Amino acid sequence: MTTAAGLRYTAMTIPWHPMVIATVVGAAVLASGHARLVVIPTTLLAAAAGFAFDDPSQEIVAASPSSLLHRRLGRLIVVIPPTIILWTTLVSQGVSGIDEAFTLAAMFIGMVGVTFGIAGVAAHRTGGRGGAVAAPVLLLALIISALFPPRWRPLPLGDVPGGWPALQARWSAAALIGALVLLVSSRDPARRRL
Amino acid sequence: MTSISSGPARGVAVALARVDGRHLLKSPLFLAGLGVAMLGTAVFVLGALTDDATTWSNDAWTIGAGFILAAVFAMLAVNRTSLRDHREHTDEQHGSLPTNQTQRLAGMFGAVLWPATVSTLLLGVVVVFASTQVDVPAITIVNVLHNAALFLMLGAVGLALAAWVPSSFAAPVVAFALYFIHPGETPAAWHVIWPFATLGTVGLAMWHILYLLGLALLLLATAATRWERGRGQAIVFLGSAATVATSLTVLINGACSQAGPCLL
Repeated sequence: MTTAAGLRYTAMTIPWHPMVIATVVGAAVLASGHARLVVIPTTLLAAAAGFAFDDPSQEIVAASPSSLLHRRLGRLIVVIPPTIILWTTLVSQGVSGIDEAFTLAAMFIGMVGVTFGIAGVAAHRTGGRGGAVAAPVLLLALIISALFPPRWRPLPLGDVPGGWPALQARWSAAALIGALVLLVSSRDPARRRL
Repeated sequence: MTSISSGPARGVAVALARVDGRHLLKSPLFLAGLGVAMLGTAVFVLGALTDDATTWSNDAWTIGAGFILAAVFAMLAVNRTSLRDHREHTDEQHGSLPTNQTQRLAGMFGAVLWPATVSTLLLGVVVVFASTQVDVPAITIVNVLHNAALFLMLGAVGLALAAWVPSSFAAPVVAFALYFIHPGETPAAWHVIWPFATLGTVGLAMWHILYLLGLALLLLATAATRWERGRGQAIVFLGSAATVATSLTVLINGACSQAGPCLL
């Protein structure tokens, strides 16, 4: 089977309706004219991306001669480009200035990273349906982050001391941690134990 | 596994409410919401124990916000439980049972009473404890009841979403919207439509509770029309719509009258 065919079959197993819902709701929110609400489409699209690992055929393909990490990378290759295109299209309407654009991009990448990390872990406990868990856990993470004083807030949605660079650094760190959690959770269950 | 005995419609609904109520109490989503409520409470209690300047009116908002978020997480839990058949592809199997969807919906709404009761009792205990540390106004008792009504209303939102938008992403979208979207800092009469609005007088607060309960019944009737459109649904729909309209009229006229400041 060619790579293109493999990706096409992978795309067929991914639930796309969360991305459609996120785009429609995000566009409606932005159409209301509140530029400060640009964080809503960002959060919704990031949460929708968490459904990338939802696979009704997980238990069947688990026995195939490809590692879990390899299968998940295939799903990421399919899901990430449309997510980025949709987010850029939506958010470009409500951004003013290059600093804000970079910060929002860092926030989006950070949220997507966190969501992938959560979905990767949750997929093990939910029979391959971690997407439904990722969105509420992302919300919980944002709430718990908001309980911290701005100086220590790990996932800041508003101003923090240090301005744009501090926001970008914290969200980049969140993306990195999310990616690491995803990598660890993607170790093959059938791997050779030391 | 708990068996459900066959019997009259009300008996089935009560039995389902009992089973799913216990499921909801053990749901990680509901427990996460309670955790957030406890964090909000802890922030206030720490302040009250360490800072003499702590007052109920200025600092207890963390408790209120915590329990509001607990209600939002309960909505997510109710929605997830309601989507069980959809998730497991057992709609058709359960459709062959001698109970109809409306009875199951009533049972699921009855199940919401469990987390609503637990949360309201917990909030009551928090208020009683807080009253030993700071002066707590009498209207707080009505606010505790408001919390129960909020749980029921948001539970009905979870059920209506499961009926009409059977996607596991729909309820999180509503939860994010409730978290991010606020009516604004400057009080205005229309803010009373916001389910989290707190009113300044006992009378108006009671009307807001009635508004939330009316909204809950309206959402339930709307959810039931997904499967059945009978006279019973029509009566509940019209009755609850009238309750919502009446309470909103009273609230909008009373909250920001020209005679004084807004009571929001």
